[in-house]
Amino acid sequence: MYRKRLGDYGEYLARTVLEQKGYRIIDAKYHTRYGELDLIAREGKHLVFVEVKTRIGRRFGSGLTALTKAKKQRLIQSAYCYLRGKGLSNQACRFDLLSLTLDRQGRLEACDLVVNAVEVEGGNYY
Amino acid sequence: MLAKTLSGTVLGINGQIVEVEVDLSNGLPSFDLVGLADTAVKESKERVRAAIKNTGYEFPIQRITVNLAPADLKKEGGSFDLPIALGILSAQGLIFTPKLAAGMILGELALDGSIRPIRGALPMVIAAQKEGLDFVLLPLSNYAETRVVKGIEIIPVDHLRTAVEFLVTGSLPLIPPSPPAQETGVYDHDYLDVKGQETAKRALEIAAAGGHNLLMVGPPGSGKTMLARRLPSILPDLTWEEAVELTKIYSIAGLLPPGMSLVTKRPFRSPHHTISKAGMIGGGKYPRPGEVTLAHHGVLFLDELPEFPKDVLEALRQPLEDRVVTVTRSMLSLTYPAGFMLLCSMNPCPCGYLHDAKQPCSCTPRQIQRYRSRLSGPFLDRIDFLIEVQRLSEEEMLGVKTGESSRAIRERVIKARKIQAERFQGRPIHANAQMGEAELKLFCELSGESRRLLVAAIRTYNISARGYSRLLKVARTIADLQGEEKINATSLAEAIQYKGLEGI
Repeated sequence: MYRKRLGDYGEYLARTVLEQKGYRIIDAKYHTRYGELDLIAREGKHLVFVEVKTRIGRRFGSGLTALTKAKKQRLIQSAYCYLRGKGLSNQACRFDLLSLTLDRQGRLEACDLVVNAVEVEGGNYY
Repeated sequence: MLAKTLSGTVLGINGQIVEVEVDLSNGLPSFDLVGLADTAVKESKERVRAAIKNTGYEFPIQRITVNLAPADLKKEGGSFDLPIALGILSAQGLIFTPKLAAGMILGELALDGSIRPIRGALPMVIAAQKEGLDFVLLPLSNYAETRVVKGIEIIPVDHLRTAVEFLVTGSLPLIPPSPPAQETGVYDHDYLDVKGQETAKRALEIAAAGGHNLLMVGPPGSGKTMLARRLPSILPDLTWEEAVELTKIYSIAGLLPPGMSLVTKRPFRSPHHTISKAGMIGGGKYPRPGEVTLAHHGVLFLDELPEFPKDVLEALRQPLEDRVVTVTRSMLSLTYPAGFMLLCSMNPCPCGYLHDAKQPCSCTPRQIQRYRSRLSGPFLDRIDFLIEVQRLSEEEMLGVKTGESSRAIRERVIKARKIQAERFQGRPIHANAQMGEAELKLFCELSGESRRLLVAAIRTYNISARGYSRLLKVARTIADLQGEEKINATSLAEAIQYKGLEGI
């Protein structure tokens, strides 16, 4: 259960970090058949799907490198599910990636926010 | 939001206008390019993104769709970067200008937003001018080559920022560079430098005057290459139309030296014998002009003829006949001009010293026969005559006597060409070498003494029907050089002494 607890803790931190940056969180842990959307927020005119990656120490590299192609694909498909579910067809959207690095005591050591981290390739065919 | 602009691509040696449409819409962010784009065009996405960002504009986080129309035409090259970037800026509402859709925009972007030169600027500008567009925005480095096009405003730009400046304010962002030094029709090599070899020089003069294809046979070091290199210097100057056509070809091939506006020298192409068929004829997945097209209006020199692969030589037969070459691919077929003079050289045998006065030949008859059999009959048929180039004697080598200058020879060639131009007025040909049976009958009539001489020659040398028409063509050119209306016995006798291909 350690990983889940770490993730939950990271998400709690992420909310604080994002709200400080002016994001308004509207949904969290949204489950779809393709996977989970960590946080969904509004920022300006965009609806932002935030993927949160939490790491302790830098032993396994930054969370920024952990977004593989398959994970991107899952994110995109989940986002489509969300948009369909909420009936939002003409909404400006984007994906942000928030990487949190904690030290051994669980204090926030670094946080990197990548705006528009994922782009859909080969057309919006879903 | 939608933005539209125009750009261009190259088809064969002509430009083709391509419409570039950029649409921005909401939805998950993506950047798609549709309209049969090749890899270089597809990659323009990344260049455009970086260039826009690094110029200080915002790149939209939106769903971007770029369409290149007509949809069924393959697009290649980097010239779409600039129109796509400007289209994105305009669709975002960052720049507002009605100008965007009224002109052609060409240019490849660097990641920092500066603009790199493109291939084929001249044919595309000509296409834009024919279409009646208001202006062409193009890379500064391509400005010189397009200056010859009149009746359209040409705006050179060197950065995405200066391109935007022009579209918004309408003022010329860069002062066009002053006209570059025209490359004059002066050639680096002159027949003045060639000692001796009077027969060979005379033969080259005849070949130049009549557009004949020529084969030089001689031992190594006898000066075949030296003689060949100087052939363009005795050809008449390019006409304006020929120069523009050549500049178009070199613009497409990307071979124009920077700052040069018009090709004014006749090309001399001397491909190495390891050349591939596609390199010689043109082609490739995205067809490019080959050596035969690059030698258009000039000389194609094949040194060490038998070393060329057989399929390359056989592929030359069609362009030699038709003076154009057609490259057909599954999607399209393109025609390139290929009106060149063929000049070949070879050794008489593998060791090179057959018939040499001093050095004995060490080849067996079998070796010699195999060496020569690499040249097929149908290929040799397209060569009008052959000359033997001998090594220089001591007196010639050490002597200070120089040859006749290229300028003097060229005077005679120009005169002979003028006679031919008048003669062939209204016909699709312009030189004696291109005469068909009908023209031969009309313009190469023999009478009296010359007729008797010809009959004797046919008997003695066992001349074939094809050899006969070649002989007449060469005799016609010699007569033109002499300024005679009819082929007289002297001209015919000189033509007879140049061996046909039976000679090797």
